[in-house]
Amino acid sequence: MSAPSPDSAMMARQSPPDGLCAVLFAHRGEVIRFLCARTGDPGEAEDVYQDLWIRLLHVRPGPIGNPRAYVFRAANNLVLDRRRAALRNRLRDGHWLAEEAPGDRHPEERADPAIAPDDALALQQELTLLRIAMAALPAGALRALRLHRIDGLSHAEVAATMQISRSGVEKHMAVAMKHLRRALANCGVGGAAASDDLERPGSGEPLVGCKDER
Amino acid sequence: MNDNLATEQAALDWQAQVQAGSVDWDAFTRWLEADRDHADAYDAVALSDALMADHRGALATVSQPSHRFWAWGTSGVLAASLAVAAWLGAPHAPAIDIHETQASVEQIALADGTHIALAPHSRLERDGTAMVLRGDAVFDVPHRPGREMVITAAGLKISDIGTRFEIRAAPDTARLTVTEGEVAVTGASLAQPVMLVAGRALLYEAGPARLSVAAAVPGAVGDWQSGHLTYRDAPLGLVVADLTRYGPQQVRMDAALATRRFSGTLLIDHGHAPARDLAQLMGLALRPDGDGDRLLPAGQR
Repeated sequence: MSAPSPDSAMMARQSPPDGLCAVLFAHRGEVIRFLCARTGDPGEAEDVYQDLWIRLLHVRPGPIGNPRAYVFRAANNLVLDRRRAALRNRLRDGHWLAEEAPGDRHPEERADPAIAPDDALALQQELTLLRIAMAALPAGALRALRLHRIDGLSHAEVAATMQISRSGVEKHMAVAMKHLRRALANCGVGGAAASDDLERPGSGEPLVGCKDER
Repeated sequence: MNDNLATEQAALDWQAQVQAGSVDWDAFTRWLEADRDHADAYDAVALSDALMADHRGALATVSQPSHRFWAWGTSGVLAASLAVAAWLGAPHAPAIDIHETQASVEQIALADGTHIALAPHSRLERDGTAMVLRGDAVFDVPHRPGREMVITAAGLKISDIGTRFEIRAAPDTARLTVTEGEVAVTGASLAQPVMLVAGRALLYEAGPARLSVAAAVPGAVGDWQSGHLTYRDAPLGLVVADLTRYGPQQVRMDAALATRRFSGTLLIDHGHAPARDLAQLMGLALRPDGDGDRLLPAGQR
């Protein structure tokens, strides 16, 4: 494609941050192309690239066998971080888990939100989102998802446990992802095409009111 | 519909390669570029992966039917945890580790660096990172991303996120105090999960189905390890239960005192008489009662 990349073995022996920034710079075209494809938004791709540069300036990893792969993986993770932050913003703005009115049915008093750090509330909301999304899954997909992602079984082990074929497991997982994707998208996450949704102020609807476009 | 499943399957496949460190980033880029739907599908796979990993422990507890399984029984608990494991299709037999104390404290150190101080007259059953507690314990849990501990006590499920916290579990009440970090609390009778953060204390009373959260008393977590018990506005019944557990002898309480609350510190070391101190502080009477004492409204005989 372009000029030969720096001697990766030499790069691997360099531990100062310069090494990784040099690797990023050497592959900037490919990394930005990846980020454009990953985010669907050239502006965001540029932002992530800048963010990545700054982080690589300060990171001090041990010896790295494949610096180019490291840089791509870091870029991928940065996009994930942004998606997760956007989800949390959306959950917060949507007033999920609305304050309970004083009453007899479920009398609870939650921790004072003014004192609780953002992360604590965000984690709580994420967990609730997951629980409700998972509760809506078809039984087979839910079971495969639990066995694979929560109990940590491999596809082969899930297949043995559920007494179905590996391709059956893969189909269940795909069904699970399809549902989870919709549940996450309905709370504002879904890439640049849905970025307008992210800008819309939360409607304040409760989580169970998420539209299901089956 | 089939097209969508193919996209999801491909996205899952790419994620598996990313996680394994074996992905061809150029080929992955080309797949992402091929269709906007590909990028969106992968977005959801990566995000749901991260969310499930971080909430794995809390998700591992079976939610709706769980209050049947995790009932407060004497013999039911171990059988229940095995039943749950069988339902989840665990390929191995779970190893149940049981700790039960009498008059002294037990210090439990787990391989992952977790430390648990189990109070007197308490019982902890452990199956990996799932535990059931009766009585009191102080937990020091190092943070491990993607691994969460779940503790069942008095009808609540408490999942830690790497913290220092204390649980005092009686059959129908639970007290939870967090010193560091935060824990998530769920339960069959809770409308929604509660997140308890450092410096907060939670009181759950199963009878009236009441849950309240307030500022924790500084230094109260594990205070019994230091020879004192400190309370702020605690229901008297809980103070009496603690005195029975940590004090020199059984203490009971007249039912008429059930609504009284106590704030203050009681010394429970050798040589002290905390029940007598409590009676004096609250203007109550204390009478011998069988193998212990009974707190009564003043003036009663």
